[in-house]
Amino acid sequence: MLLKALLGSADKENVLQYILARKKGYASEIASFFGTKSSQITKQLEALEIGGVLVGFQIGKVRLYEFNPRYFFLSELIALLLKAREAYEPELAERLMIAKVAPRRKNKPDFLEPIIKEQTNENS
Amino acid sequence: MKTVKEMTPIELASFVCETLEDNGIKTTLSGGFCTQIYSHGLYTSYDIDFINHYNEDHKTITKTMINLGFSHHDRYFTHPDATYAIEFPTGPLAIGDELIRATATIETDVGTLRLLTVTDAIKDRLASYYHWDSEQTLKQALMIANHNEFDLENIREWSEKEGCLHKFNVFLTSLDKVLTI
Repeated sequence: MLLKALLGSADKENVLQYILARKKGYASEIASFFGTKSSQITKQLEALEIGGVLVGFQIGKVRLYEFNPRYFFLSELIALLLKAREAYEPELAERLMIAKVAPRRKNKPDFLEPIIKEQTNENS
Repeated sequence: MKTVKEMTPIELASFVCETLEDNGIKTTLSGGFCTQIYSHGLYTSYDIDFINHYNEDHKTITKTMINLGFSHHDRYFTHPDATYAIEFPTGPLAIGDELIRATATIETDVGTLRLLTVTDAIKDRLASYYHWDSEQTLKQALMIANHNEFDLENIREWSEKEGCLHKFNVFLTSLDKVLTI
């Protein structure tokens, strides 16, 4: 992973990339995607929640995480993650981007979209 | 010097804030407890959130809090003689993309409490309403706004930057007093 030196952990980079690509994620599905242990991913998700980067919502037995829209460095973090993703092995980048088809209310606003759009325009 | 048991909630917060400052940790009260203060008790919070401005070492915070008689539970500190749980969310002190430079203070017999200004406390509550549709925090923003003078234009400009003017208008039209920009 390309941001390991900066983030201190490949698992942390994986978690952030997964949530950037899929908007939301929980430990076991992220672990399954990257073929790693769920406990390692849980540790990173909890650290990112304590740090204010992610917010978690308890849904039944699952804790679902997404980016914290109030995180002060959110747009800068997304820019960095997008730039790193461009440099990933094409297979991984493609796999990340194949979003699961999930039901979503028509015209439901998505707070990440304008940030990603802005960062993508700046990077191009 | 009063014991923790003898302190009012505001005194307890000021005592903790000043003791941490003496130990090199700059914090500012944020969240629901600001609503409790600015709503003059209309709203009750049992969480005291101090933003750790520069993300100073949590070990120093833990050591200081334990010296004050608090116990550490996960992310919270509790005291046997206080009903409040104290937490230290990570900094910087900001609301959305906007860094907060000016804060308010309350002097008590046992210390100085640094807290969000009225305007920023309203924005802090509105931020949760804007991002998560939290009706409860909209109500808190209204409680603060209905009991204090604040900078409405500042809140409107910030709301515009957050892309939430439509929700700002809900706030504006829900105020007890009629305000215009």
